[in-house]
Amino acid sequence: MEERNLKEAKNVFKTLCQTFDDLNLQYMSDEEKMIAYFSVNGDDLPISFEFKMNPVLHLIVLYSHIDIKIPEQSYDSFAVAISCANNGLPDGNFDFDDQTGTLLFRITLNYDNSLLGREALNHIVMGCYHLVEKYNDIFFMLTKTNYTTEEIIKLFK
Amino acid sequence: MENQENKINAEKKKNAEKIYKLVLEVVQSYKCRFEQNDEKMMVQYTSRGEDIPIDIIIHVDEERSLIRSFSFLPFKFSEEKRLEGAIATNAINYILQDGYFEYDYETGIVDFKVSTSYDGSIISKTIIEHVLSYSEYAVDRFNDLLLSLSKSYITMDEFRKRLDKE
Repeated sequence: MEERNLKEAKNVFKTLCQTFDDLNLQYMSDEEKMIAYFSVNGDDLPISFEFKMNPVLHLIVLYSHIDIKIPEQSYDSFAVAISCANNGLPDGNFDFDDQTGTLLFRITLNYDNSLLGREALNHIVMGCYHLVEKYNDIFFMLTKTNYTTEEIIKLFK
Repeated sequence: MENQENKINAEKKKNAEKIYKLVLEVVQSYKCRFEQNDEKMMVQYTSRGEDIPIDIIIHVDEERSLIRSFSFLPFKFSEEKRLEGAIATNAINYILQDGYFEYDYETGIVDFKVSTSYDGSIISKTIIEHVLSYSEYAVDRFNDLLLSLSKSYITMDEFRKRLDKE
């Protein structure tokens, strides 16, 4: 990896943490690994925010792990549900790994050669918060009840 | 209150127009044929992929202060392959670093989407170049795999094996 990429990522990560400090946010960070983490209480379930830097692609990547246990027999239903949830999203998407049952929301912000505004950081945090908050209870419900494909499609309309 | 709102909207429009100008400069530099819709702040062009040509649409979303690109795949999953399409697009999305394959379960249509916010930011052309090049890269890398699955040239197990090798 180019030295310039790493330096740029470290500077952006510092700015990111500075923004959290200015907002008096309680967060954990690892400057070496360029990872920052905090969580908030949603209406139904806690919502986590994990920021990672991707120096190669010049990205801030925000992941929100959705901490629900998905039974293996529901993996196909989740594949349908995640496709429906992702269809038409303005920014970011839900990722589902049907090998492990991992479910998360991912949204990125590109900073290559640019000066990021606080509004853009706010956009990814709030975008993530609203979408996870909107859908996590539906995902939770899907782990508890069997729905037909048609019913799943309706849930996301 | 209304004045404040008008001021914010005028500022948003001005910023979007600046970004759209950058988008046009980047696409023009590719020296390919393209179509532009200035009113919708949208540009469409075709890039030559390794397997098949890749249609790319790049759009400046003034309301949300987003740069977004879409690339629709030139095939769709038939009704009997609909579930496999959902499983496959999810499996690919999980290994991607940016963007995602958007899948319409009801129609079987697939597109690749990348977006990034420019809200309150001073952004360079390299970000627009990234949005476009990443779309081309992801579509070029996975379109034959998705096509093969949609046409039953490969099974779901073979799809997974080939995806693991990616």
